[in-house]
Amino acid sequence: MSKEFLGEFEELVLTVVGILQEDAYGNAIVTEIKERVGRDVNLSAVHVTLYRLEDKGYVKSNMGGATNSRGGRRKRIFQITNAGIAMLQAMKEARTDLWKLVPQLKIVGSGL
Amino acid sequence: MEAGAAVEDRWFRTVSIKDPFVVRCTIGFVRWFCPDTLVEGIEGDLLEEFDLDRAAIGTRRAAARLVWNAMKFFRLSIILRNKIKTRNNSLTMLKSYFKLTLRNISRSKGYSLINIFGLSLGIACCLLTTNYVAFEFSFDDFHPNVDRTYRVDQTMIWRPDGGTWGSTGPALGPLLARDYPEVEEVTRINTPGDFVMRYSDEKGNVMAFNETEIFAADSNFFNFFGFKLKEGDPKTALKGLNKVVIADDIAKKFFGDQSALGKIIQLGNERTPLEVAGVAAKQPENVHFHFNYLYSMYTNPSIKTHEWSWIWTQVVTYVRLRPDADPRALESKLDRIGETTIKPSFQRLGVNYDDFMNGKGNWQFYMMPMKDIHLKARSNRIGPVGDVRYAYAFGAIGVFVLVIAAINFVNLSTARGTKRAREVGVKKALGALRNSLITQFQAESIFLAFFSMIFALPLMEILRLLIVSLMKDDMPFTLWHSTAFIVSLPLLAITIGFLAGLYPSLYLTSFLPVEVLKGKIASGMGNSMLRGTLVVIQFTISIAMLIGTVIVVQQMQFIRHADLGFNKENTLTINYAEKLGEHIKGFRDEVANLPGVISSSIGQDVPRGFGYEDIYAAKGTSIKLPVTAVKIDGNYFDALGFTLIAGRTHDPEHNAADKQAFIANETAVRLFGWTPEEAIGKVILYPGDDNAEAPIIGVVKDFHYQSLRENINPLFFNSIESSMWGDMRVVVVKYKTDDMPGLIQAIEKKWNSTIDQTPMDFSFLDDDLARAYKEDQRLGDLFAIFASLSIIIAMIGLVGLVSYSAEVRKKEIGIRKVLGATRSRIMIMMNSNYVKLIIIGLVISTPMSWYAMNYWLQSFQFKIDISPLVFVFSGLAVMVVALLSVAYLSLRAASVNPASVLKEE
Repeated sequence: MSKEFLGEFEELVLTVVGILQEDAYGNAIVTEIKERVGRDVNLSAVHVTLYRLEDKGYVKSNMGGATNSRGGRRKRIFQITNAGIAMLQAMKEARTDLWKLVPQLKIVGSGL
Repeated sequence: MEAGAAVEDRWFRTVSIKDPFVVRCTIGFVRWFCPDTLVEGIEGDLLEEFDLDRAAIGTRRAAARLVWNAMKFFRLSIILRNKIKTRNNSLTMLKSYFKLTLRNISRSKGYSLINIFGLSLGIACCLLTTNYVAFEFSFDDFHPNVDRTYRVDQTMIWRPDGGTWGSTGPALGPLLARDYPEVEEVTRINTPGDFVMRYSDEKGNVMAFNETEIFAADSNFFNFFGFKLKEGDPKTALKGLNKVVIADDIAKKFFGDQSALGKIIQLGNERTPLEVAGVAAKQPENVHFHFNYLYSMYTNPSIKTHEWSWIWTQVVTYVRLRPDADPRALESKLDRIGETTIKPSFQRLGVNYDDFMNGKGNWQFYMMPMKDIHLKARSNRIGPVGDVRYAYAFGAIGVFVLVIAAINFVNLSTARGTKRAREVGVKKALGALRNSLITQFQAESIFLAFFSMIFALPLMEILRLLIVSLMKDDMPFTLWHSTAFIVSLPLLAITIGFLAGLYPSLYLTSFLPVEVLKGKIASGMGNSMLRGTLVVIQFTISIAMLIGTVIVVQQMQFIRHADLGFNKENTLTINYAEKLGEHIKGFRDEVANLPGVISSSIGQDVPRGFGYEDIYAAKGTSIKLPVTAVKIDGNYFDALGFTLIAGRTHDPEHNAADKQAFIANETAVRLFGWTPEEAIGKVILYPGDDNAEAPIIGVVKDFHYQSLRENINPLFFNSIESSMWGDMRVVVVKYKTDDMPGLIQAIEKKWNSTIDQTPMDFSFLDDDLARAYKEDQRLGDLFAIFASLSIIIAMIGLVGLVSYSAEVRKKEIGIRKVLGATRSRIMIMMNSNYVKLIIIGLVISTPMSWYAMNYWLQSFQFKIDISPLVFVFSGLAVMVVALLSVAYLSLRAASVNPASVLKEE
């Protein structure tokens, strides 16, 4: 597997790009993360991460069609690349492998 | 939806005027810092969010949130995307320019070599002179608070016409410290003279050396000056009597690797014991004085006995003023000292103060900034002085040589315009903008300057070694220690490259593609007007420097061969002969009998700047004169070949009265108001001595006993038997031998058999005399070196130009030959242009160099007249060199076979 690693936030954003498919652009990703994970993320942080992922080749982007809602600006739509998908899979597998090695863990102290 | 270009056009305009002002500003800001490729997506997201917010929480808060969100985009990872993009771009261009430069160099290796070598030479010269000038101006930088440290100068009281000098009496220092609150600290340095220094080790072996630069100093010396001690405590080293601080090489000489502290050195013939209380660390070169020995002030008994005196001017006084003190104001306060303090002290001397000061102006004091002593002071009691004019002259020479080299650069680039013109034409036709072409040519020029700079550094070292070996004088390169200098090297390269590339880049890029491609500017010699002007500047500078060299050399020749009024050849002086005491006469007579010795005599000194002045009066007149008095024996007068123009010389053996009698020089006699004949028998009073009242028995023809910069001043010869002040002695040996070392050995043997543990010191009179002109000799040598270099560089440029014009005019020459021109006609045609330029250069440089060199000659009282032949000679010399340098090229051009150049078209 590639020697590149993804940070936690990068992985999150990349996954959401994969979920949103055709509709993956800055604001949508922020909203999606908010809804699914309940995490308030910053728009600029998402943008920067997207550009970085693009540099690494895990996503690619192109300009979508214009809408009336954004003052006429087009959306920059991101799309996960094969490398990105492979990366996500590799990370998930690596984590599952690791998880299997952990002996039976219980959450302690909650009275369960 | 609208598509493509229309949308792109639209969205930039549609920050709707209905949006709040803050929003428009914020969007403007985002556009400014975001990379073009990203800005639309970012803006869209921001505005979308803004619209949603506006609906949810109202315009104001939505706007605030927008601003906040937008600000968060202003981060490095966004901004750098911008910059990295452009930086990459210009780096690529730079690479491409670099490649183009290398290609151009390899395409025309000869020209590039000339270009780079010439410029390297110019830069090397410029760096060398910069180093020299920087060194000269760095003197005394290392003392603490040097900006408010001054040497106290005063009216020169020992010359009839006054002036100022840097020596004072010992009384001044304590007075300044006591009565003037603006003075923070005072220190004095006394010059007791040169002595033998002896050291005897535990085994009783005695080492003895004749030593110079022996000073006595106040105990705060090391607090006042920046000198450091290697051993010993600077605070206490000079406290108390019989303490001495020695230089590190002196310590090495006497004690080797042992510690010097506590050792006892014996001073002079009295063998005054001095305890070594400190060893000085290596003293920097750039200080206005250096010391070998520094002993505590009052160890010299004369200080105590003269502490009250203002005319015992054997002390240098330094002051450090308080930061807020005004040196000019202090000077005017000090003006009173003459009347209030010095005048009363004259009663003790028995001299009338007003008579003494007559003609010399008031007794005044001046604050000479310590930083200025080296370059601007005319006197320095304890070390040599430089001359600021020489520093400026060298600086100017360096710049001139660089200008000559830079002109080559410009000329060769523009001359090669033809070839480059095509390139420019094609590039322009393909759509290159003029600006980008200018950038290209500038980059090329700066790259070449960089290459030159790189070659200049080793070249500079070679030149420096050459100069050092030629002048037998060290010239350390001190600038490497200066960060400013290292940093300025690339800046210098950029500046030179930029300036030299300015004209070529503007000129070459101005070609119209249509004309160039049609071959209209093919001659490339367009604008030869400018090139001619630049060549004239080069020749003007080179010829002026050559003229300068010739005049300095002539003046030096004149000095060397000037009739000084005595015979300085074949004269060996045994110095410090007073150490022989009673035995001096015996020694003189024994030396006289050595083979190879013509005569041997005793005197107080030889005429190499006698310095024993005092005030004399003539009986029956009111005239009092400062006169230099020198004692001589019966042989001395004839041995040195002086001319007697009236009366007779001393004969104390047959005539006891002659012991005190005077032989006066013409000037003294004239100033007392007599003719030489009248002067015989006139009585002279020596006010400083009770019993001195003696007649003049002879008059000697004026001779130069000081440097030729000085006028001849009044002088008396006394008999060696005279009771008057002055116990220095030298033995003057006139010789005629082929075996100089043998003779010196023989004399030394006699010396050592006469006196124990005392080394002999000798010098040759002509060397002693030449030393007075050391700086001038240096000027002459350096002038010669740099004039040659400037001519070489100018010739390199000329060769480049001529070979180029030969190349360009190949066809023209071919046609001329076909039409019947002879080879010599063509050679004349090729050369006449440059001969004209050289003549113009000569015409311009003549008045300039005449003016400058005349100014320099003014510093000599005795000097050559500048002959017009000098100018003719210099012009001719440059012309001959120029014609010789291009002779081969023009011959080759003229010998070309017309068929071979005309066949291709």
